[in-house]
Amino acid sequence: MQRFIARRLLDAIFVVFGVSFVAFILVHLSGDPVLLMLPLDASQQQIDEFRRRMGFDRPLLVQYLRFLSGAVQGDFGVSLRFDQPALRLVVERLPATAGLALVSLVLAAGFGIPAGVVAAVGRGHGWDVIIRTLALVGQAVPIFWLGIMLILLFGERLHLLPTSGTGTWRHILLPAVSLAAYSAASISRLQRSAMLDVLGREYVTTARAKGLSALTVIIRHALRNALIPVVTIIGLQMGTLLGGAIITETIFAWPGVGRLSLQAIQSRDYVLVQASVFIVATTFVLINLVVDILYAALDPRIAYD
Amino acid sequence: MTRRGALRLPGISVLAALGLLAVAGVLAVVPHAIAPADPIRVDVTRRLLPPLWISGGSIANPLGTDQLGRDVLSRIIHGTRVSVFVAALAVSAAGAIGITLGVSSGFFGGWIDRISMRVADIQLAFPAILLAIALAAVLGPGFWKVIIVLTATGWVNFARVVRGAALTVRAQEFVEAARGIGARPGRIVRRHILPNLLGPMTVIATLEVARVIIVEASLGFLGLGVQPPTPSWGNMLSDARAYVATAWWLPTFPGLAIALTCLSVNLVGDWIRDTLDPRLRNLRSFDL
Repeated sequence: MQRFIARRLLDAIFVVFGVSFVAFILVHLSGDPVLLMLPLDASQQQIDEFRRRMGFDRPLLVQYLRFLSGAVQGDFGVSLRFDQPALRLVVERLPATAGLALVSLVLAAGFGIPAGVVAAVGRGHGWDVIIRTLALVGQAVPIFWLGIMLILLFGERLHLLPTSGTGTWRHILLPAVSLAAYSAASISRLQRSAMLDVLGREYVTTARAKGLSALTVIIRHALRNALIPVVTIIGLQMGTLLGGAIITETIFAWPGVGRLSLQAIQSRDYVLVQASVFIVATTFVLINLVVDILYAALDPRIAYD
Repeated sequence: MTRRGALRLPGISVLAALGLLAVAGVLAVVPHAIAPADPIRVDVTRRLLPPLWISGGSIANPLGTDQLGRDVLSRIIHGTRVSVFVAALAVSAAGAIGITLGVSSGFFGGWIDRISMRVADIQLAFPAILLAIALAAVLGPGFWKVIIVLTATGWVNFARVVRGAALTVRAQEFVEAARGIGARPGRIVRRHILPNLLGPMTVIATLEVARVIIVEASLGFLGLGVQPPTPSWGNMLSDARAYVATAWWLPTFPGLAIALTCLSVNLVGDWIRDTLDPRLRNLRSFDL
């Protein structure tokens, strides 16, 4: 187990290095980053001075090593737009994104898991058909459109819920629902097929044959085993949620990292782009690392090598 | 409960989905022949007209008009072109790269495997949409740029799945046998590995088509996709954001087009998977 954790940790460190390189090189992909960041009418003198000040006149490798040593010390530079340290801007907005993602995850699992179980148990019948149809629709609807439709219905038509900003618990409902829909659909589909797989096993037949009630068998024998694959993809869903948060936060003016990174991208604030891309990806790597280790700890059948 | 037979005929929903995709294909190839109006012709005297069935609507603009008086139905029909062509080209390119790398990694192993899987690990550390948005912002908007972005973010899904499947197939006895009678690696890959990977490749391709359509629309929505005046479902929704309160038809119909297309692709994809995957056929039912 310790060797397994050590190996996964090494993998994660390698990936974070790769992530730092991608975050760094993104800005250089278009050729000259200076021209991307300055307005079109900047004079040659301004361009040269900016290039020197940002260190863009140094060799690429030197620039990367400087970025990396800064990143290790938590120094990503100063945001061009907000004129504040990029790290602070991102960290300040992390709680809002984490809150939105967590509420969405709870909604997704809270609806997805029971729905998948009900569909599997009643396979081929009414509820199964309804749940499967909803899940198919949930996976086909783009997050941003769902968000707009929720605003149209609950905000503009029914005036039931606030459609932008934060404040009360009611502010989180619409963004969380639009962010959770896709994950809830994925989770319910996976839960259904995992459940069907388990329900066909002999230990389930045995449990039924010895006279246990259907409900006991479903919950204690089937669901416990059918939850294992679902728990693994919940870790992966965090990636989907963090990505989806970029769009959801923008639509609902939710003050999180997603909206911040989009603002940074759109205002060509590449210092902030590097910082937010790096931090979002690193967070995702850490979540996956923790999920992997938990998963191995929970399920003794996982091979550690 | 009935057991699934060896061959599953498509149900009514799958047939409907196939029909809808065929329609989308035709619309994408010859939108001019079908759209009732010119999708970029501005007519400020006919701004924000509601759909046909609402009072004030007319048969000339069945789904209403937008803030510049352009016909919404015609714009959706022309927008099909962007979605269908971007999806077809990006998924083909990502598939070609991903399948080549996946088969090489799974079958030959070695440095190709190590490098491509390391790169895949790093790429998967990013939420795909974040990478797509950042890349699109750096490269700039436009049809071909969008395809580059979607190819760059999509190959990894093919490579992962195909590599895994190739590893499984490689370990099977008929591959051992082929090697035993002296077949060269190239022949083994062509005759034994690739045909056995057809199932997973088809399934991942349909998943990717749906993903690409949604990501393309998201980029268009954020102003990073195909640029106006060329209509795309994404940039139509981007314009529509300002009219959510006043003209509900503007945000509603392009989104419905996206959702229906992706729903159809997913339905067909599920049907292909259920038909191809023998494990699902052996499922026993559980009667309570």
